[in-house]
Amino acid sequence: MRRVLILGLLGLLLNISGAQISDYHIELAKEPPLKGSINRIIFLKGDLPVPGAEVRVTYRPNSATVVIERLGATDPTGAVSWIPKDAGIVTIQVTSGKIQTIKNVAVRFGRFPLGGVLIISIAGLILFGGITISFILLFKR
Amino acid sequence: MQVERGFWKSKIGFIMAASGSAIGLGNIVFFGANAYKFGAGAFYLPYLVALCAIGIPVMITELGLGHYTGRAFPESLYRITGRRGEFFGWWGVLNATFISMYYITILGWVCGMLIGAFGSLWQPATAVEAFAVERMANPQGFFFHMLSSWRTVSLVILVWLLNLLIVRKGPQTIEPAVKVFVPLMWLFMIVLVIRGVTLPEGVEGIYLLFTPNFGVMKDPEVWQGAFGQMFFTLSLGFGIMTAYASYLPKKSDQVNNGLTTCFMNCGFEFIAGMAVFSLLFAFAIVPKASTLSMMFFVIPQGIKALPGGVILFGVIFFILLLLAGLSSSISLVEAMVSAIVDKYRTNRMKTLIVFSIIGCIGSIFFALPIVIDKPLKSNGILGLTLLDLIDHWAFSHGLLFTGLVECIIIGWIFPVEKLRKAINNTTKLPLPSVFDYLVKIFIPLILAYILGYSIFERLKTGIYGHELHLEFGRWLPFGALAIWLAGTIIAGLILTFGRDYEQR
Repeated sequence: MRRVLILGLLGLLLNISGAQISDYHIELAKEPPLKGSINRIIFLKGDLPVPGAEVRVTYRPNSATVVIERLGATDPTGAVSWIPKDAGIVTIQVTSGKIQTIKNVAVRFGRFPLGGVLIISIAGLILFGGITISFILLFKR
Repeated sequence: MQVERGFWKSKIGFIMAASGSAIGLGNIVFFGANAYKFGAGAFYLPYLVALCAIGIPVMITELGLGHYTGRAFPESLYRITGRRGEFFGWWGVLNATFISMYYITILGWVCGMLIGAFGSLWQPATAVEAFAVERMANPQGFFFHMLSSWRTVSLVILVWLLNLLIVRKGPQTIEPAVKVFVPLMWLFMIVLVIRGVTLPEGVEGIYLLFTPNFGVMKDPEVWQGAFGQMFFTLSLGFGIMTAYASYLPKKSDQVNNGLTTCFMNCGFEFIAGMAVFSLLFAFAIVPKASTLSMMFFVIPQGIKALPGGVILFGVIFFILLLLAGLSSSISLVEAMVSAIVDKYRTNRMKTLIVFSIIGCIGSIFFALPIVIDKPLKSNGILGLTLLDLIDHWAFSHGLLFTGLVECIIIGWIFPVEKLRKAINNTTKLPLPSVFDYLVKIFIPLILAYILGYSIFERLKTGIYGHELHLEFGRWLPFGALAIWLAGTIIAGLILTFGRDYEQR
C-alpha cells in the first residue's frame, strides 16, 4: 500500500544525496560484480586503504525481500572478500568509527535468468495478447 | 428540461478515454517499484490473479452500470436504491474531487519539472531555502526550489485551465484530446523502453524486475498490495467509468470495453516497469515505492546519468507524465461535472467553471504551504504532508470504501444478475454466472479485509501522520481527516437532498 510519501521523499533525500562529502570512498576489485563470482570490496581514504572498517551489504534495499549480509572488517589492505549471493541492486555500507560511506552497485546475473524471462514472456503474452484480441473484437462487426 | 448529454463518436475514442483515465502517474512510476518491493517477478502472480478476480469484474460492473442507466455515478445508484445509493454516489465523486485537487497540484509540479528539463534541472545543484542548506544537489534541489516558487502556483492554475478547456463539451472535446494524448503516451513510453534496454546492462534491469522471489508469496501484505494496487491502477471507485460509459450507445459491448481498458492499463505499466528498471539498474539507483520520489527524484537521477540526450529524454519523460496525468484528471473532472449537470440541469459550461474554481482553490491550498513556508520551519514540509494525509484517506481508503459499497449495492440490491443479463444482451463475450459471485461475495470480502486491516493497524499505532512529530501543526493529521470526512459527507448530503431527480 502507499506509504507516507513525505518520509519517502525525506529518506530519499538523505539516501541519494549521500554523495560522499569526505575523501572516503568504496571501490570494487572487479566491475561489474557478478552473482556467485568472488570479488573484493575496498575501502579507501583518498588512495590509502582503511583497515578495520565494518562492511555490510544489503540486497534488494527498500523491498520486502531485503537481506543484509555482514562481511566483517576490512583487512590491512582495506579490503574484504565478497561473493554476491544475489543479483540486483545492492547497497554496500562501510562504517569506520563515525564515518559511514555508502555505495550502490548493480550485481549482474552472471547467467541467463530463465525465471525472469519466463515471467516476462507469460505476463507479456497475457497482457498484450489480451489487448490484441480485444481490439480485434472491438472492430469486428 | 432535457439535457443534451453528448456521446462518444467512435469506439476507439471511448477506449482512448477510458484507458487514458486508467493510465496515470502511478502506472508509469509506481507499479514497477511496487513489484520490485514485493518480490519482483513473483508479484505478477497475485497481480494477474487480482486483475482477473477484481480488476476486470469491477471495471465491467462500473461500465455496465453507466451504460445501463445512461447516467453518471450518483444518479445511477439512485435508480437502483433511491436516496441512500445516491448519497454514496455523491460521496464517491466528492472523494474523487479531493483526489483531483492534489492530483492537479502534482501535475503543476510536473509542469515545473518539465520546464526545468530543458536545462536547469540537469545542473549540479540549485540554491534552496529549505532544510537549512544553501544549495542542494539536483534533482532534489531543483524540485524543492520549484515547489517554493509562486510560479508553481500559476502552473497549477494553468493545468486547471487545460482541464476546463478539454472537458468543456464533454465527450465532444474529450475524445479528440485523448486520441492525441494516449497514442503519444504509448509512443513516448516505447522510446524510453528502447533507450533503457540499449544502455549497458539495461536488459539486466528488466531481468531484475521480472526474476521472481517466491519467498514473499506467503506474506499476506504482498497479496494485499496486489489487490489494492489493481483497484487503484484501473481508476476504479472514482465514478469515472460509469460517467464515461453513460455516453455510449445502447449497443456497445461493456465486456470487451472493460477487457480492453484493463489490458491496456496493465500492458502500459508492464512496459513502463521495463523502461524504469533498465534505467535504474544501469546506474545502480535504488528504487523507492513512492510515486513522488520516483517521479521527481529517482528517475530524473537516472536520466541525468545518461551518456547522451539528457535533455531530450528528460523532456520526453515529463511530457509523458503530463499527458498521463491530464488524461486522468479530465476524467476526474468529468465524473463530477456530469453528475451535477444530470441532477441539477445546470448549464454545463457554468457548472464546469464553478467546479474548476473550487477545485483550483483546493489545488492551490495544497501547493501554497511550501511557497509561504520556504525555510520549511515546520520541520515536516507542511504542504507535502497535507497532500500525503489527504491522499492516505481519500485514495487509500476512500476509493476502496466506494468500491465496497458499489459492489454491495449492485451485487445485492440491483441485483448483479440483472446487470449481467443487460450486459450480456450486447456483448460477444457473455459473462458467466461466476461474475455474480465475484461482485456479490469475493470482491466485497477482499475490499473489506484490506480496509479493515488498514484501519485495525491504525487503531493500534495511532492516527496516520502522528508519527511525523510536526513542530507546527500537531493538529494536522486530525485536521486532514476531519476536513476530508466533513467535506465529503456534508457536501454529499447537500447534493443528495438539494433536489429530487423527479423534480427536474
